[in-house]
Amino acid sequence: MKNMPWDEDLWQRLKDAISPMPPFVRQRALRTLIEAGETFARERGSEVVQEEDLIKAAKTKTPALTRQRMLDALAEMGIGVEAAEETK
Amino acid sequence: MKAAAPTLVSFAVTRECNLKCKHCYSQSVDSPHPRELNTAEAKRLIGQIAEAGAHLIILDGGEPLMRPDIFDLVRHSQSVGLTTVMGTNGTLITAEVAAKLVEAGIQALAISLDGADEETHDAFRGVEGVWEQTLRGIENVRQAGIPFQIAPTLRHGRWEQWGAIADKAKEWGATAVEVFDYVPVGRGEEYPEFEMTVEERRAFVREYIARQRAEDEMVYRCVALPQFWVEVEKTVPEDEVLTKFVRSCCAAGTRYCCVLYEGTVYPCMVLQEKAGDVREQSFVDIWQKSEVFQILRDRDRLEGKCGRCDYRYICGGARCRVYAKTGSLTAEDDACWFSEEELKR
Ligand code: SF4
Repeated sequence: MKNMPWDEDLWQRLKDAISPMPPFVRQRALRTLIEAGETFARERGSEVVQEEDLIKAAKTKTPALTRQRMLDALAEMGIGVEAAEETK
Repeated sequence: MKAAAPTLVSFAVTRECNLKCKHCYSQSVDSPHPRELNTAEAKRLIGQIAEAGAHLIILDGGEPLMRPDIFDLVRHSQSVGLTTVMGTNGTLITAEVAAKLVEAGIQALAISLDGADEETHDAFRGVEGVWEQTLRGIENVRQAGIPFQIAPTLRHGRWEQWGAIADKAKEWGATAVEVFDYVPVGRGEEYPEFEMTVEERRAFVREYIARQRAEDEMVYRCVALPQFWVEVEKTVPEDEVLTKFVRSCCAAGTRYCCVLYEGTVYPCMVLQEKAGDVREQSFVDIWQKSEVFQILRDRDRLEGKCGRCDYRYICGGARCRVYAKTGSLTAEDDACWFSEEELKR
């Protein structure tokens, strides 16, 4: 699914965050997040996807219906806790 | 620790039930609790659950269809934006009831089935003839087009039947099978002999993984057996983990909690340490501030083997079973089969 390197700890926490979601919700959401996260990393000239890329992807590219759920799930794993709060 | 919104909350709308299941965690009997939340209180609670940011509510009991205002509660929970599902024994679902559930807006049902045959199911459910009634209920649900899952409880000596139950579930058109590991709480305290051994649990988990790997449509989930996820991570290729497997526990107090018919809030239906009472405090306050939830959310407070484990934030041990046996929310889960070496991630 990944097309470039991800920060290892970030990738693990992303996997943990999405693992409770139903597969049909998760598969689409994950594809979108990975693509967008990698695009944002490239745009900033980074060779590795970092937390800021994933947060930006979650905030801007997750479909509106599942956005808060995704941000909450990431926050539970310690990713972008402030971002999850801001959107509430 | 700051609370993320709950993903799902179960609301046991009544303790009244037409069956006498041996493992009943809510000690259900044939009459409502004298202090059962009335319709207005139940609706207020449902509103607060939505306000807390929950996505999904499970209306269960007791048998939720024993409650006269149940369709009204389903309608209300829909109107406040909650995905609304119901946990039922299925025996009261006539074609007419199924049609009313559709009209009220129910989105899915979980139907308990504790054996692959009449004898096993009826013996566990405590009433003869229940198997037939449950099957009729399932057929009515199917005819009405309501998505449903089958929910068996695993127990010592009989756990292998789950495979045959899963086969039947698929044949009947269920979307998922949610398997419960037996936890001796509520009425179940009287039957500790139903608890599976560690070896049985491990054998089940291996079967479960093999089954999910071979399956593209049916989703399997399991409750009260969080170690299964560690086994998944250790044995299943990453792509399959990402697309097929669901980590369904332990979410007690972190993504899930349960409210009983008279307003008591517990971290889980099988982890019965009081976190609050919705007649004294709003659900939102309880979810965000309860000391019990704070303890469960902070996995760095876990002790012993669980405290040293790299998987503590995704497994954390079966807090329900640990609590039932030791009275502690943070003690290690002595049913864990992994060695210390295997607990390095
Ligand atoms: S030690 Fe505890 S947290 Fe770790 S896998 Fe075993 S039960 Fe789960």
